[in-house]
This record gives sequence, structure tokens and C-alpha cells, in this order.
Amino acid sequence: MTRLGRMLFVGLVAVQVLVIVGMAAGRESTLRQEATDVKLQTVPVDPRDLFRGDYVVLRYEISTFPTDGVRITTSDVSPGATVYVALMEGPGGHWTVSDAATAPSAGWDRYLRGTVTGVGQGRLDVEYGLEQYFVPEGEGLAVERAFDVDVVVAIDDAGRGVIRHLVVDGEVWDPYQ
Amino acid sequence: MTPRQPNFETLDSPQPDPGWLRNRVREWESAEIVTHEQAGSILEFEKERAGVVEQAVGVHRIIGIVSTFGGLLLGAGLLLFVASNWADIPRLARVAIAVATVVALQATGYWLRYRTAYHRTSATFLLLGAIAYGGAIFLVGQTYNYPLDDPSLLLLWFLPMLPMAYLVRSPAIAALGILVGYGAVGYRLAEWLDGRRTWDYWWQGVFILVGVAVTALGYLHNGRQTLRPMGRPFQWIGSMTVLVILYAMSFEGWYGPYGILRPVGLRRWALEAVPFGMWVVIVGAFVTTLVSAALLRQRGTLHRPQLAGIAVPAITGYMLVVLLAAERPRSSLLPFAIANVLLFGALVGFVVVGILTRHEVLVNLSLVFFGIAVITRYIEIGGGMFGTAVSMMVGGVLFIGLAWGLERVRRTLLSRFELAGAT
Repeated sequence: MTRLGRMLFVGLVAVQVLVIVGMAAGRESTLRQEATDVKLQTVPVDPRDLFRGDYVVLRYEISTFPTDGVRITTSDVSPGATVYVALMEGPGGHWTVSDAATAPSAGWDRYLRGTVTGVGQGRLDVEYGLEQYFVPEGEGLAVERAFDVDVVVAIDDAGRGVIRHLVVDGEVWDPYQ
Repeated sequence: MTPRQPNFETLDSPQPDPGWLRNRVREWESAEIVTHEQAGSILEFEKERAGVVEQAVGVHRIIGIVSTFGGLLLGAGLLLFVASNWADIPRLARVAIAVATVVALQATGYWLRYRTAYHRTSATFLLLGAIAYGGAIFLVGQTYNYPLDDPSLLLLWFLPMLPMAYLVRSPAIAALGILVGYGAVGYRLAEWLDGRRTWDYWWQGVFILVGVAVTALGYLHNGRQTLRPMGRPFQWIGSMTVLVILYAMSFEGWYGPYGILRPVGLRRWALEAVPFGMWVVIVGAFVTTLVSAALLRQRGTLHRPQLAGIAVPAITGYMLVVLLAAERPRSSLLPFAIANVLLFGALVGFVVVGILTRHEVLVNLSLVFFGIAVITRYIEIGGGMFGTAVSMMVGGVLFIGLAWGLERVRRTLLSRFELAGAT
């Protein structure tokens, strides 16, 4: 192999390493910002997929919200569109939707970036990239059978959320700690 | 005249087809270019050489099989070890293991190929490295709770695959790259088409166009002898894509009011609502096909049959998108009939292209699909007509006859290849 070929080979392996490290670094940096945590109310189910191992599918109260009272309307967006959802702390420490728009507003304290998955009569369905939580094999059922499951999410400045841990029946539940 | 000993150092060079050589030597003898003895010596020499090559190729295959088996065993063991201890390994350590595995496999592959010239073993390590890279993306994704159904992850896997395949001249990595690329496009299409029932035919149409573009790219490799092996995965996978989709669409169960696909009126389309990315895929496949055809034409290597092989499935893809979806037939017969005519046309077209361009692969592929189509049609239609025992007996006789017929056709075609000097 020529010198250029060697350099290209090293470059291509470096690109692969950067992708893997970049994926981890992006989430690690968010997880280390403790001040931006929010607690979200969920309703979990537990499907199983051989390729993905065991994981809990999470659906949040903020996954579907009415468009009255927020800036965005159902005619502003279609499935696949990016939306920003502002959050405010409600009773029980759970964060709920206070506003939503196609771009973050300066007045918002904490917000999540999401993708519209459905547009209904006066309501929007949104996914935030927080809908899967991977657990060691066989432990997903413990979450499904729980009475109450909350998710603590760390949010970065761009509105990207990362699951920090689950709160199962009032107890912090992090199988990897 | 005593035959010379074969030169073992040139065993890796392409070998002339024995049938072709025999014919040529006889022609030289008739034209009195070589004497009868010289002709005999040439054939004897090449026969001996071919025997040595055959042995060497056999050993190469065993090495390939053994190293691939070893690689898979190693990979499976590593995966099991990591999986069984995964929960106890800290997050950053998991990332480190993933990175180390990818780098170690590819570095070993590089070292084996370029420092020790163990080509077969190195190919296994390089392929395992490429697979490990994809695995690492999903393992890290799982560790940090990325949505693993996001097609972007497959795209990240796909991007370095083809450059790596060409750099290390690995058809296996190229095939992996194409399949991962298909996965990325397929996932994204599913996302774009989710909940839009009026676009039922888009998926099939788009994938036929992608298949045609991939096949056309495969043909482009034929211009240079050293690149030919790299073109094969493109030709195989591209042709398979077209045939598999047409075959799948040739069943009546897809259509009609209770079928999966429901033809709809053109006026219900909202073309402005087609996602930008989908246009990129459609136009990208179209442009790739056109540019490939233009380049082949410029090189003078685009024969009419090849052009037909590219154009016919391309038009088919558009027909699926436009014709089937634009009409609103009262029964499922029209789209069902169109799909079957297209499948039959494609199969015949592939055989013709295969014969004229002397591509054995295309002929075999078409015959296999033809056989599968006949068998499944029999099961679909015959199962309802006769009782179980009679349908099994009749089917058995039909299939034996079909196999005999196909084998006969195949032999005739391949013997023509040999006479014509197929490569």
C-alpha cells in the first residue's frame, strides 16, 4: 500500500473511532450538567427485540399535548418536523409542557427538542429521543410492573435530552450504576 | 517437444478459460500458426498449469473458510463475554472496549495484508472490523439510550464502509456497505411513509430505482480488470433488489380492498408534501443511473443489452410509482397483472442481458427466480384445486420436470458461453 493509501486507511479508522467516541462524548457532556435535570412522568411498556437486547419503551405525559395555549398550531407542522417544547415544573416535581414552537424562545428556561410524529385534532404527538431505556436482560419487567415510573432527564443548551436514570416507585433505579 | 514446467509465481493471474483456449489453439493449428505438436504442448502445459491453479484455489478456499470460521468464533466469543459482563462494566469502559475492538481488528487486518501478505486471513479481520464498527455504534447507542431505530445510526455505519472497501479491495465489505446503506434508506423511507397510506407504492418503486442505480454502478467497474471484483456485489445486490421486489409484488394478496397495497387516485397525492430527503433518494438514484450509463457509453462499454438491463427496471420502478398508484382499478386484477408482466419481462430481460453480455450470474439468478415463481404459483393455485395427496404428487412431477428443464436450459446457455469465451 502506498503512503497515501496508509494515510487514508488510518484516516478511515480514525473516522470510525471519532463517530463512536463522539456519540459517547455528546451524551456524557450533557449527563455531567446536573443543573439542567427535569423529571418526567411516564407510562412504560416492555417489548423485546433480539437485535436491541432488553429495553423499556417509555411514553411521557409530554409526548402528546394540546395546541391550545402554545404558540404552535397543528397547521404549522407535519410529521417529521422539529419542534421545541418549553417545560415548567408542576406538582410533584414533574415537568409539563408550557409552550411549543418551531424555534426556541428567549424567555424559555428549559426546553426539549423533539420531532413531530403525529398531528391530530388540536393536538401534537412528539418524540424526544428519550423513548428507549436499555436495561440488563430480564430486568425490564421490574419497571413495567412498577406502580409509578418517572424519568430524570438531563438537558443540554440545544434542548437535547439524555436519560440520567429512572425513578421506580420513588426509588432511583439505575441498573448500570 | 517436452512441455515446460508451469510458472508458479504467476498463479494469481487470471486464467484463460480451457474451452476458449482449446478452440483458439485448434484455430491456430488450422491457420498453420503452430504445428500439431506445438498445439499439443500448449494444451498440455495449460492443462498442468490449470491443475496446479485448481489445487492452489482449493487451498485458498479452505484458508478462507477456516479464517472466516475462526473470525466468527472470535467475534461471537468476544460478544458473549462483553454481553454477559455488560451490566458490570462502567459506561466509559464500554466505549473503550468498543473502540479497542474496532481498531484492533482493522489494524490486524492491515498488518496481515500489507506486512505479511496473508490476504485471506486479513480479509476476514477487515470484514470483522467493519462489522464490529456497526456493532460498536449500536452498543454505544444502547449504553447512552440513543433511539436505536433512528436511521442516522445506520448512515453513520454506512459512510466509511465503501471508502474502506475500495481502499483494501474487499468485495465483502462493499456488500456489507451496500446492505447497510439499504437499511438506512429503508428505515428512513418507513419513517417518511409512516401513516401515509396513499404512498403505498412509493417504497417498492424507490427501492427498484435504488437497485437499478446500484446495478449500473456495478457495471461501471467492468472497465478495469482490477476493479471487476468490486463491481460484483453491486451487480448482485442491485439485480436481486429489483427481482425480489417484483417477485414480492406479483402476488394477488398485495392488492385490492383487503390487500396491503391499495391503489389510489393521483389527485389525492400531495407531491409538495413528499419529504425533501425522499426526493434526494429518488433523484439521486436517477442521476446515478444516468451518469453511470453515460460513462459506460463514453467508454464504449455500454452495450445495448446492458442499456436495456438498466433502462427496463428503471422504467419499471417509475411505472410502479406512477401507473399503479395513479389508477384506481375497481378490482385488484390490473395491478396484479401489471406486476406479473413486469416480473416476467424482467426475468426474460435478465436472461437476454446475461447471454448477450456473457454474465453467468444474471442467467442463474433469473432461472432461480423463475423456478421460485413457478413453485410458489403452483402452491398458491394448485393447493386450492386438488386434494393434498394429489397436489403433492402432481407438484412433485411438475417440479422434477421444471428442475430438469431449468438444468437443460442452463447447460445450453453455459455451453454457449464457453464457446463464446465467457469470463
